[in-house]
Amino acid sequence: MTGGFSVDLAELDELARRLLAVADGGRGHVVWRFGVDTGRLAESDPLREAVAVYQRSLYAALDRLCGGAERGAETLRAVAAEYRTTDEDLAARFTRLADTWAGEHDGGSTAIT
Amino acid sequence: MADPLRSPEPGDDDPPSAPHPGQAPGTPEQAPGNPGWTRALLGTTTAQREPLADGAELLPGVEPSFWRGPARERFTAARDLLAGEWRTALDAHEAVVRRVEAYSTFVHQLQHLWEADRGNPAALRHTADLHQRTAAALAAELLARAAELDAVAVEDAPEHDDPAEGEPGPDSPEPGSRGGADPDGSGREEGGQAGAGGDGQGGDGQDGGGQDADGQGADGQEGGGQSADGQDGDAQDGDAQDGGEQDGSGRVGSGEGGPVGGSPPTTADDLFTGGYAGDEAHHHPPPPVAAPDAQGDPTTPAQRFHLTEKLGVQLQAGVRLFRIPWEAPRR
Repeated sequence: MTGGFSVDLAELDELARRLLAVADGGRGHVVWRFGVDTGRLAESDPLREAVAVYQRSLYAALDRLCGGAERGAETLRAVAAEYRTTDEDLAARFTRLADTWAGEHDGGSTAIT
Repeated sequence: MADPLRSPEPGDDDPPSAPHPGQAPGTPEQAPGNPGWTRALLGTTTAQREPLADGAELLPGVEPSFWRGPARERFTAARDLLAGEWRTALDAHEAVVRRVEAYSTFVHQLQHLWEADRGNPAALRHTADLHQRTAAALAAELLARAAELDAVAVEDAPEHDDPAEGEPGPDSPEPGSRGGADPDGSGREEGGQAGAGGDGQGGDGQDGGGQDADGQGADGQEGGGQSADGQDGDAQDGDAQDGGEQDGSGRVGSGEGGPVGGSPPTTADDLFTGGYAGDEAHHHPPPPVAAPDAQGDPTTPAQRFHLTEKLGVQLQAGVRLFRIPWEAPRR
């Protein structure tokens, strides 16, 4: 596509909601309420430290992945808000412009405040 | 990860608590390994696959139907990148699940093997040594996979970043001694599965353990030399959190002092790595567009309409404008 675009702002919000659902589903999954009790292993057991390290890395990776989905959602919502603001701003400008024209066409009798 | 898993009820494969009458001198009373704990580890790691699989499955479905244009293309590209990262994490974790499953089977069978070899101290020592090597191989595999996961969804350092931001954040995973950062754990995995396939027959299990020993000795040496990688990963985690904080700044144009023009994200990475809009480190605002007829303020309605029409088209195209020539305070 070389030019032009179309945006459905409601769809942007829906996409953001679905991205947030992915993030919430990842972080809020019930499995993260539990851990692996490595304290039951002897301190000399190599699995004791390795399992703890792996569990930390696993959750940290999932947290970053969920953060990526969240940032995508935030970006979509911010862009949708910018589109709305831009549209409203443009509408306001044309409204003022129309007021200006109206004032000129009636010989300046229309008061513009 | 708040509450530790409760230990399961003792089962028929849990280590016996009383010494066996035929216990050979110089050997442990019970078989090595903790079947109950291993079973719990397997259950937990298996369950941990679900949130990763959900994300990897759901993300590609976040597909716009009515959104058209360059921004949509960038969005889908960024979404695909993120989905790929989810898949990478899922693949790494699935490999761990398979490895833990093999180890759990191995430990379970080891209990029966131990009982069968009660009167044979040499066989018991061999079995204990076999378990030690297999557990060490699993530990090396876990550390290697942890290093893989540390590289997942890590943001690139911003171009104009403060060097101090590269340090680990306060919430970043603590930099444990990451041995075994070798990401290629396939050889060790095969060895572990061979060891787990003892199936109650001493000869098979010992053969598998011999293969484990060969593969694992080298792994242990590799692991110790690569702890710096683990620290690098932590530093990158700190960056990730910094990026997230930067996202908290407002992105919506204020609309003050001129028209608001939100330019869509320009790169796929921007969307999901926090490099959009308010993030000054990533975002470079487009240069102001000089109004083509800005030599003088329009004086007639026709001129104003002409200029406004042009600017409106530019606004719809996402061009950021900073000034409208005739936009003086109204009297």
